[in-house]
Amino acid sequence: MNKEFQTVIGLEVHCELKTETKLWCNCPNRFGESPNSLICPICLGLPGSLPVLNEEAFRLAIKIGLALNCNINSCIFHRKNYFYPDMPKNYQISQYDMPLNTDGFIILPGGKKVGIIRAHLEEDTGKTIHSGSTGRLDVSKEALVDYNRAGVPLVEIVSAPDIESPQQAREYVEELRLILLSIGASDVKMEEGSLRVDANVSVRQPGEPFGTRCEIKNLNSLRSLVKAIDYEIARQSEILSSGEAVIQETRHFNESDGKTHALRSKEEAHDYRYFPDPDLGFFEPDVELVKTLKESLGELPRQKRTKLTKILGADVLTNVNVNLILEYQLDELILKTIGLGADPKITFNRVVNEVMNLYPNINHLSPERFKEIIDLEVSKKITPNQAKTLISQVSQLGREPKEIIQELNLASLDEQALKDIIKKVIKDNQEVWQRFVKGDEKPLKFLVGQVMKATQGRADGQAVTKILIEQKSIA
Amino acid sequence: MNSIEFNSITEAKEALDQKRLSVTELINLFFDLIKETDQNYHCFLELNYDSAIRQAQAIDQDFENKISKPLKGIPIALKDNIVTKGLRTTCGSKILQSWIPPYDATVVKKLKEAGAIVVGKTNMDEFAMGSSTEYSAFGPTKNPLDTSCVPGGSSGGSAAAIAASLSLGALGSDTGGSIRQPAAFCGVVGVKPTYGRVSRFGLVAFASSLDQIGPFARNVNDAALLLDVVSGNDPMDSTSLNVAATNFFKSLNSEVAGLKVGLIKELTDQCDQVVKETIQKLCDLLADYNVVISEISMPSLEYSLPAYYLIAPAEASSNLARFDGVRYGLRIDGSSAKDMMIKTRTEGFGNEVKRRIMLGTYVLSHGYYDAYYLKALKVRTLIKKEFEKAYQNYDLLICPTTPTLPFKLGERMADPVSMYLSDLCTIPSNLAGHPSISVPFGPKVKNFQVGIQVLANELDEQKMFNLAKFIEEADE
Amino acid sequence: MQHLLSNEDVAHIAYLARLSLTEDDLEKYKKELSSILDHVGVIEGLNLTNVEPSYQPLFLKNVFRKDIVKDSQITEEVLKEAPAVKETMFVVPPILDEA
Repeated sequence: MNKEFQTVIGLEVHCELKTETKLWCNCPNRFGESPNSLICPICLGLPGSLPVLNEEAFRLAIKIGLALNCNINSCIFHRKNYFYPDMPKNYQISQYDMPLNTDGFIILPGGKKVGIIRAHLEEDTGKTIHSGSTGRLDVSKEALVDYNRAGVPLVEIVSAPDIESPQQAREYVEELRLILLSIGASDVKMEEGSLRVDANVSVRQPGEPFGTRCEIKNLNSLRSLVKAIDYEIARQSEILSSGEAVIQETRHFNESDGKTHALRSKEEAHDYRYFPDPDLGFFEPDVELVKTLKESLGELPRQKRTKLTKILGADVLTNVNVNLILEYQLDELILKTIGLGADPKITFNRVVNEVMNLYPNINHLSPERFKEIIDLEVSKKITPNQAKTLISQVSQLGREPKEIIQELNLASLDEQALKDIIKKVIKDNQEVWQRFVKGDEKPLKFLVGQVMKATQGRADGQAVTKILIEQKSIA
Repeated sequence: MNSIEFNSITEAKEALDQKRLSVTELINLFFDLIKETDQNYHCFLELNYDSAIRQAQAIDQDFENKISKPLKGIPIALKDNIVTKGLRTTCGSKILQSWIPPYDATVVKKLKEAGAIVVGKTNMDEFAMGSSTEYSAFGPTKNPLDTSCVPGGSSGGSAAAIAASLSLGALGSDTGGSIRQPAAFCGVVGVKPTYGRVSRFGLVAFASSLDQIGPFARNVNDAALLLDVVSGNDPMDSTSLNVAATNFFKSLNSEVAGLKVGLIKELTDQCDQVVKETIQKLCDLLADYNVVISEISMPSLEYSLPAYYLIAPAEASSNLARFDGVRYGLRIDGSSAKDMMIKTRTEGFGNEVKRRIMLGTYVLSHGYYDAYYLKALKVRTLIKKEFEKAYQNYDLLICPTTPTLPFKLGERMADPVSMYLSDLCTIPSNLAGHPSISVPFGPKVKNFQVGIQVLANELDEQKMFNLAKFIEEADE
Repeated sequence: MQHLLSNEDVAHIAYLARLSLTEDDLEKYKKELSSILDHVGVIEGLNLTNVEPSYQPLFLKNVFRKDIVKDSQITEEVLKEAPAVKETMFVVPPILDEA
């Protein structure tokens, strides 16, 4: 008999900060460059090198803490000591018992509150590539190391074990991403590694204390996150159901078989021998600075959603990828355009259907121009198709709508002119027309197409269809 | 022992200014001496001949240039844990036996800007861990005053180079006495500045919260000049004091009347008889010159040695983790990356270094952190507070630099603890972060004078130099 | 000796520090480390509950640097000093376990 298990999930999210330079040195903080081209004595940990904290990284880390409703503390840095080829100093400068941000929370779109235990600063490691026939760890004949990423500033955000399902885990990461993006702290691209997620998963009987948890690593996408947690819940539930105990261990998610696997070799209990880094002093966030940073946060995703809902109504937003709108920061365009007086529903539709597809090439689509186009559509001076064309042209070319309308001769045809053109098309396509009149539906599309061709797209497809059907009935 | 015409930087500068000789001649003079006599002492691990001569010639040919630089054309030797671009830097260790760094330490940049010419890198105890330079992987340095004795350590090579007149100035590093103790053993002047005075950027770290670079010289004036050149805030070092470079040389004087000086009881009591007698002579002399001298008891100093031998190895165990054969230095191949690291470190490090790494690892490890490391950090606070209290009633403190005269080569190798005791008098200054200088004084005993240590409050080196100058003048 | 370390203790410490010890080494270091710990362990007995630890003599506040790129250009020299290089990457023997 399968008992009902409750899932407990805590997530550790590492995000790379969007600074110009690394955490401790002036090397560029860039992705995708030739291996070991972005190094210096400091990030390579050469003998005699010393760290000095990047002011901007500190500011961004405070902003993250503020956006996550944390306490912003005076802090120091600790050394986390362990040996690994991608670690230039074989210790990582991180934060331990006196971290910058503690005791925060975020509220997910559905209303669920997830605690944030801490969000601290630390440096990233280099990257190892395991070469060899299959590329898998245990059959490589050598490993290659690139230190471009060593020393890149990271903020590690540790959630409380408040997350209750894989879907909620996904929601949490999505919301966190949006928050980080919105405040300009990080690019948060999972595919580039500027956002990494590790999941701590355990199951228990409701009311019982926490079960033994396993840490899952190597989650390269939100899909993997959900799949891995799903698998892990099932695996742990099965173990417990059969009376066995779950072993606390670190497991890797394997994309190809969709399972988590324990590491082959015996897991070392790491003794990190944390101690305060004697090369650094302490860091006290200045009260004025924190105030300024708080004011600079701007609206967070939660507030943006509330605004959109208020103006558009909750119905309009269902089945729409609101997160993507927020990620592309299109909420601003929507609200500003509506603020100028444009029709809310049409504005929203055009954004969802047209502007989203044009993103990111939409720099020239200002709220003013956008409103102009919407107004023209609403007053039927242009057809919906023409509106789409205008949006595309204005976004990409940055010209005024009126200009483009004139040039492309996009102004709608008046009704009589349209009827004349339709009559001509019917005359020129008698065979097809007769078939249509006799009841064949198929020619309709062809006939509409012919009319559109003849009007150079200026006609409104719906109006043309209407007229053709009228004509059919009187034929 | 070499005896040369120039016994100090000041004398050499005068000679250069008066064009009694050219820079090239001066530099060649020292290289000749090194070639002829260093085999007796083994001060140098690496010589910078070609580059030094080129620099000397460039200065000589730059007739138009009237810009005065404090160390223009002056030969300087550097302890081999100070990173020099393009010039081999070994830290006295097999694990770095052929490392050519791609950058210069900040102090090296400053020396170059001051016109100095680096003649070579000097021998040292491996990674600065030792008090005799016998732990160097490349053989010990011998004391120029008596080559059957150690020169002290860990900056033995630099101290001996000054004593043997193989350089006019030298830099060393001091973590628990590694400048002052060899200065005392070799009969020269050695200074450990206030922690943070001199940039540590480019000093291969041993114990980060204790290490400081400082000068060796034949006299107090030169030492002050050297410190002026290499000191000053460095934005590359987060532990660098936010104060400008110093100006001690100009303000140097030996006026000591009215100064209140305390003789530290706990650090003097434990010394050899000859040492105690010498410092007593000094006290009598100071009293004659109206220095108010009295004994001060500082009980917390009893714990300075234990605290040091917990803090320093702990930090060292972490600082030396980077030597793993991956990016530079020695590599012994292995079947896996881990295997390679283990083999490289086992082969590359000497016994004393391994001892301290293991001690430090143990002290920081799970379950022992509070009992050992944290407690040692608290003892440091006590010591610092005790010094603060002392300086409320005294301007300066004095004590012997080391408990004994130089010991024989090999004498203390069997028992590491006996070697550690040599640092008894010097360690407190490192823990407190305070400046201290060693000057030779008194009648010679078997070629050796006793080294006297003058300790000052943080940032108070001027007073310290002044008293040291007085002692030096009184000694003549 | 109060602080006599066991063989396991010493072997474990050596492993944490990535050092390998022969049987003789183990014995030797065990004795030496125990002796040192005896000497330094005297501070274990001190009552220092109300004393703050000094991590550093100065413990400066808010030492920062500006977020401005500086190209160090040491790649070539660094790779020259590397024990093993493939194109521009450092080569190490296979990494058989995860950190």
